[in-house]
Amino acid sequence: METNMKKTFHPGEFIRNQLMLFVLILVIIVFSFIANNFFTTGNLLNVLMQSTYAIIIGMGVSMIMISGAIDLSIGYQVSFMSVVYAVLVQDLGQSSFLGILVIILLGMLMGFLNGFLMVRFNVNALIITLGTSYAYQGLSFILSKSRTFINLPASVTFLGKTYIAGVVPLAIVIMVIAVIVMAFVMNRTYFGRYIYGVGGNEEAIKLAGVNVERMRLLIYTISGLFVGLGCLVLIGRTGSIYAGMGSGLEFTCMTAGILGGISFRGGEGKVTGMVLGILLLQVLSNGMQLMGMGTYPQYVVKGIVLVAAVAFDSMQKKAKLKAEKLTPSQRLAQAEKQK
Amino acid sequence: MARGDTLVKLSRITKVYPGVRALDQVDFELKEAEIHAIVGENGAGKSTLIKVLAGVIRPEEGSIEIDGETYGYMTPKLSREKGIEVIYQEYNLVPTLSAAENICLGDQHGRLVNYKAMEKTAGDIFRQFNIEIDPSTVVYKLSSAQMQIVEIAKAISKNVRVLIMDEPTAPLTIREVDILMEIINRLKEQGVSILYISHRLDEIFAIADRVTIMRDGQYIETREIQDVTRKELISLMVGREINEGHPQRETRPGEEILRVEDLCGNGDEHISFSLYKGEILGVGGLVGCGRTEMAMMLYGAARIDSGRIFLNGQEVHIKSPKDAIAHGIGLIPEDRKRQGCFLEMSINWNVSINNIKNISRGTVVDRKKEKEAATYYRNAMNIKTPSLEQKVKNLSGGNQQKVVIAKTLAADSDIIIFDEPTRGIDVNAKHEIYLLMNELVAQGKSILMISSDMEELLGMSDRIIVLSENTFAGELKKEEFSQQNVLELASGGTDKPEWMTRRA
Ligand SMILES: Nc1ncnc2c1ncn2[C@@H]1O[C@H](COP(=O)(O)OP(=O)(O)OP(=O)(O)O)[C@@H](O)[C@H]1O
Ligand SMILES: [Mg+2]
Repeated sequence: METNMKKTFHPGEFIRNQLMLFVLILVIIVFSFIANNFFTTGNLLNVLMQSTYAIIIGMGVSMIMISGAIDLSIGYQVSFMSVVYAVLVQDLGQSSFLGILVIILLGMLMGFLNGFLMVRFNVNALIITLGTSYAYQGLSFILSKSRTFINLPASVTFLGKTYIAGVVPLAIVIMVIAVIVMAFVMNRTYFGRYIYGVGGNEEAIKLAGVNVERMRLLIYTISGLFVGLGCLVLIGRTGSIYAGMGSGLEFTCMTAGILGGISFRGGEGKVTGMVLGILLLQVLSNGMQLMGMGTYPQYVVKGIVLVAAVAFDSMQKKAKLKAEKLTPSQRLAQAEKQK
Repeated sequence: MARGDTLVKLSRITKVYPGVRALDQVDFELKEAEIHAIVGENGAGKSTLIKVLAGVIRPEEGSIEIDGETYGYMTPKLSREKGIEVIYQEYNLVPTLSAAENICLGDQHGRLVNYKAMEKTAGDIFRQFNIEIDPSTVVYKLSSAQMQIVEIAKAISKNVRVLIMDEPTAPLTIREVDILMEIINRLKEQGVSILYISHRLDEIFAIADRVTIMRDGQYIETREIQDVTRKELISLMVGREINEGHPQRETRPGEEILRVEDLCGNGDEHISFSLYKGEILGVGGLVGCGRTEMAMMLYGAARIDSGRIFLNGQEVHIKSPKDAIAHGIGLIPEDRKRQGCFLEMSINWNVSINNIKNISRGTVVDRKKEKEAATYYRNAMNIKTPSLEQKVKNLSGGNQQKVVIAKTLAADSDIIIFDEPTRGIDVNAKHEIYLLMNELVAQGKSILMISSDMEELLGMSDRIIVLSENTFAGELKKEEFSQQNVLELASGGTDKPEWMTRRA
């Protein structure tokens, strides 16, 4: 039965499914015409480099969003772990390797803590992570005494600065690996299925024998690992550390996720959608920068893009209905035809 | 307009989804003050047809004639203005609002919320139909039968001319169905037309004036109910003669596999029984008598306060569904939308999720095995879909239920708890599922079958235990099986569940 039911190709549906890819390509084409120096290898590589850390962190964010949760504290997690590194290495004279280890471990620990608080007190992720976000923000500024740390050792900046064989940036390689691993985990392994299950129908996945609380702990902890990794790439890119460095990162990632079709309802979307979303946001800000737009007009555009994305998310659900909408005259004509 | 005049007429309605013609040139006519039933197999297009009438979906072709006007499609607003009210297959009440608030949702009583007026409206309707529900009760605290009544009350409060009910009795037991029938007949006397969808054919013969048969999205025909026999109706629905009823089993139950001693918890008290290898043990009782609560404890999804559970003579402690699965217990849950399926995921995905570790190599899911399992159950239960990649939310209600059953069966447990297994499933597929159950017990598996469907309970069980008011009420052996005996135990002597009759 399956075999004689050939899948027919619906161009409309294909475009709707791959819409973000088309939008991305369209935006690139438009900028190529209107922004000077946009469509050059150097600039495009630059855009890619600027996207790396957000995409790596976005892998964690997409996992959390697909599980139907949220993490508002990611930005200040990045700030806090960076500042801890800087203080350890520059104020206390510890080795940079210890500092790097601390970044990774702190990432996982902070993720775990979010998951733990959520599970232990059965409180909404939004509230818990809003709380931890404030705490990490405060701690970052207290610890750093509002200083900016520069002259960081090469051992911590190498992830952002190294080029393999002189041409391929290490950061991009790491990003690609992170995406491939996550895409594989989410699509092919049963662990990934469970994550979709937790987000799609928590009650039903419990009855399927899955320990949802343990899943949440795992999801947040693994997400923390990506946050730590992304943080290292970010430090390498900027070459400096200060308490506000991660602020807003979680919103960038969540905006990108929604643009890429990962909804807040959970149980939907693909990690590759996150990649497309981040690339789109980066292309937008890079293009606008090249056109000489100021920071604030850029905010306005990004705001519009976010709202458009959310509207798009809900409109997609109604897309079928829309497609069938007839104009009053068509309706009349149809009624006529019946007579 | 008078009784017998045409009220609504649908002509050549067509609705296409990718890979399916849900409706194919369907004609349908509803008269003033008639009870008109629609029957058809799962996926025949019944729910789609009423959604067209309610204006929630728009057909590609066809016209709708109502009050002398012709429309290409309806909108929810227009449909409501014309006095069409729908009670959908899935509940549509807001669980955190009270019965009264739900009933008056969308109405305006002045600018501010007027709880007094709302409660009066609700109370009046309940009184009119002799129903004892406190209008201020929050809906999630009501039983499914009570919720159904609230849905009806909500429709009645809106000056309804056409009341559409999509499988209203699926969650109800026989007594509660009687009450519902009373209400429907009373509405008809008041001049309301009723469009009634059900897979329970007895109900249709008991209540309908006319019946329309649909098959594979097509209109087959409309008959006066007295001009058609049950057998004819089924063959019109299915398109051929089929075996109905309960297939015989050759096998006899063997030794004891599960023993429950004095189980208390989750609202239930002092439940004891045994289940034997290769046995189907029916569990009877009224809605809300604590059967599902018991199932949840056995499956580790609810806490057990006291009592002991033995598997093959060994005491076990089941603390989570994971433990239950490890002990070879499976559950087909009662509420398919909330506990049963993942609506956004494919049929393949759903069927494999309970057993996903076993169809994985290491941690990687073996998609070939996954597809094999899904294909097997699609054929065994006749799941109607263009593809196994179809999202479950796009299936008809009955086909979703089949996916829920497949999901649990694919996990290959020794003891399977069926909680209302054939709710919303058509006669033909029901038979297929009964065959599947027989095959399971023939393989030496045991089934605990909670069912509100009396024929199913009496026809499929080897023994029946009955719960009443959250405790064990009695056990019936095969030779004692009768509707009378089950109901007597279930109601603990009283005739009707107390909330349904007004206290004097
Ligand atoms: N949104 C949708 N997308 C794709 N297919 C759909 C959608 N809604 C319904 N269908 C298909 O249309 C057909 C008719 O479905 P419908 O829900 O009307 O069946 P039904 O007669 O009510 O069945 P049941 O007795 O199981 O409730 C089915 O094959 C179903 O899979
Ligand atoms: Mg239906």
